[in-house]
Amino acid sequence: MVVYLLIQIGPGDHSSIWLINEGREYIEAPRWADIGIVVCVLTSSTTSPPPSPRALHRRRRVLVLDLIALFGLYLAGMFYTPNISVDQYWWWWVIHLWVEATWEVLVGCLMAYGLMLTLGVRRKIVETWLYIEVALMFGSGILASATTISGSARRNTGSPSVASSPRWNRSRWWRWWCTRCSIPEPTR
Amino acid sequence: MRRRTPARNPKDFNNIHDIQGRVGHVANRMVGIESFWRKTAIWVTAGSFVALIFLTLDSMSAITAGSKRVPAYSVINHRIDYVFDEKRNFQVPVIGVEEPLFGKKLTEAEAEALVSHGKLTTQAKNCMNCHTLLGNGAYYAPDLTKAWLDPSWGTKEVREQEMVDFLMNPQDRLHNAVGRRMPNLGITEAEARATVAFLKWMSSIDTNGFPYNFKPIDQSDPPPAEAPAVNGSRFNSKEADMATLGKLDSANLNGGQKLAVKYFTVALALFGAQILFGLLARHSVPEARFSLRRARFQRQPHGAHQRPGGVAAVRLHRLGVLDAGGRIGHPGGRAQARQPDLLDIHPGGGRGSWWSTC
Repeated sequence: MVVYLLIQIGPGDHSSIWLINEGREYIEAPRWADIGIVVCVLTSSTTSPPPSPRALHRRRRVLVLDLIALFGLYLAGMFYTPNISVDQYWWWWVIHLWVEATWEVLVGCLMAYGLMLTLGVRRKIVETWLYIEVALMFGSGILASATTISGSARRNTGSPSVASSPRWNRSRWWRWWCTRCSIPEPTR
Repeated sequence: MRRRTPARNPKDFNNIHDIQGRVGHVANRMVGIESFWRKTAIWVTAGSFVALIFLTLDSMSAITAGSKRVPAYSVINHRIDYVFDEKRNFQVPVIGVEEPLFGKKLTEAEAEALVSHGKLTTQAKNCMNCHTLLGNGAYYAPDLTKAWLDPSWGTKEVREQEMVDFLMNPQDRLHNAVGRRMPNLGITEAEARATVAFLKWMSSIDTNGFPYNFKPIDQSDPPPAEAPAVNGSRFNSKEADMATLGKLDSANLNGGQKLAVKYFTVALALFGAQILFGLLARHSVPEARFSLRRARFQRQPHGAHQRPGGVAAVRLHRLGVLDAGGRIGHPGGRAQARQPDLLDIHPGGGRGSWWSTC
C-alpha cells in the first residue's frame, strides 16, 4: 500500500523499478515484491513434497505441478530490456500463462477439494473433471498466448508473419485474424 | 482401464442395492474416462507448449533490436516517417535522411543508453496506467506508438522542444479534443529528452500498420506554408473520418461495430463449444444421463430423497453444518432439541419401502 502511494514519484532509473513499481500493466509490482512472490510460491510448492509420487493423489500431483509452473512462469516477467518489443513479448507470457492459466488451475484444485469435502463427490469423478479443466485451461491458455503473440502483439511488436496467396496476402490475413483475436483496442 | 458390467434394465431398480450397483457401474466407467482425460490434459499441454516454444524462437529472432522490423537504437539519428505502402496495404515506417535528435549524432551505444533511460522513465512514471504503448496499456490517454509523428507537435522544427516542454509541464495544456489533461509527474529535463528519444525509436518499429489511417506530422524539407494549429488534434478531424467512410470492409467498422461482431463471434463459438461438449459428455457417460434423470425419483440412502436439500443436506448434516431438517444448525441449541422428531427415525412405509430392505 505504501509503495502504491509512491507510484510515479520515483526517478527514471533502475531504483524505481526495484523499489516502487515496474510500470508494466498488471505486473506493476516492484522487483522486490516479484522476488517475494517467487520465494513464497517456491516455498509452498516444495515444503509439501509427497512421501513418494505413488502415494500422492493425482489431484495433489496436479496441484504441485501447477505450483511449479506458477513459480517458473512468473520469471518470464522479471527482467529489464530497453527493447519494448521483447519486453511486451514476455509480458504476454506472464499474462496468459501465469495469470490466466496456472492461477485458474490452482482455484480448480481447491474447488475440487471443496467438492469432495462438502458433497462427498467421488475422487475419480472430481479428478476427471479436473483433467478436463486442465486440458481446456492450459490448452486454451497456451493457444491464447500463441494467437495473441502471433495476432495482436505480432502486429504491434512487429514480428513477421506467414506468407500466403497473392489475393489474401499476409498482411490482410493477419489483419483479419487480429480483428478477431485481439483484445478491443481504440481506433484512432 | 475401463471395466464393463452388463447393462441392466432400468425397471429392475427396486432397492438401494440396485442403485448402488448402478452408481458403482458409473464410477467404473468414469475410471476409464479419467485416464483418457489425464492423457488428454498431458498431451494438449505438452503439444501447445512445444508450439509456443517454436513461436518464441521465431519471434525472438524477429524482434531483436537491430533486425529488419525493429531497428537499432541509432535509428534516432535519422528521419522517421510513416507512409502508406501499396503492396502491404498499410502504413509502414520509413527511415529517411540523417536528422539527429536534438541536433547531436549519437553512436549505437550512446543511443541505446538514451533510449533505455527513456524506457526506464516511462516505466517509473507508469505511463501505461493511462496510455497504450504498441497498443498495450490503459485506454484513458492516447496511444504513444507514433507519438513522435503526432501532428499536434506543430512543425518538425519545434517538435523536439515542444515534446520536452510538454513532458515537463503538461498540466496546463489541453492534450487532445477529449479535454483530458496529463498531470505533472516531476519529469526532469534529462528524463524528458530521453523519453523523446525512446518515443522516436518506438515510432520506427514496423507494427504491421498499427495504428491504421494515422496522419503523421509533415516532415518534408521545404517547411509548410502555415503550421497546423497545436490544439487541432487528429481526434476531431472529421475529414479523415469522411475519407475512410468510402472504403467499407471489416477494418473500417467503428469501435462499437467491431465489438458487436467480436462478441457475437465469441458467443457463437461458446454456444457451439457447449453443444459439442454436451454431446461428448452424453456420448461418454450414457449412464450418468440416465441416473441424473431417474435418481430424483428413486429412493436414496439415508432418506435423502425425503429431505429438503437431498444428498447434499445429508452430507452437511453429518458434518454438523445443517440440522436434520436441512436448516442451518444451531450447535447445542435448536438443532439438538429437534433431534428426536427426525423424519428418518421412523419413516414408516412398510413393504416396498427402502427401509424394509435395511
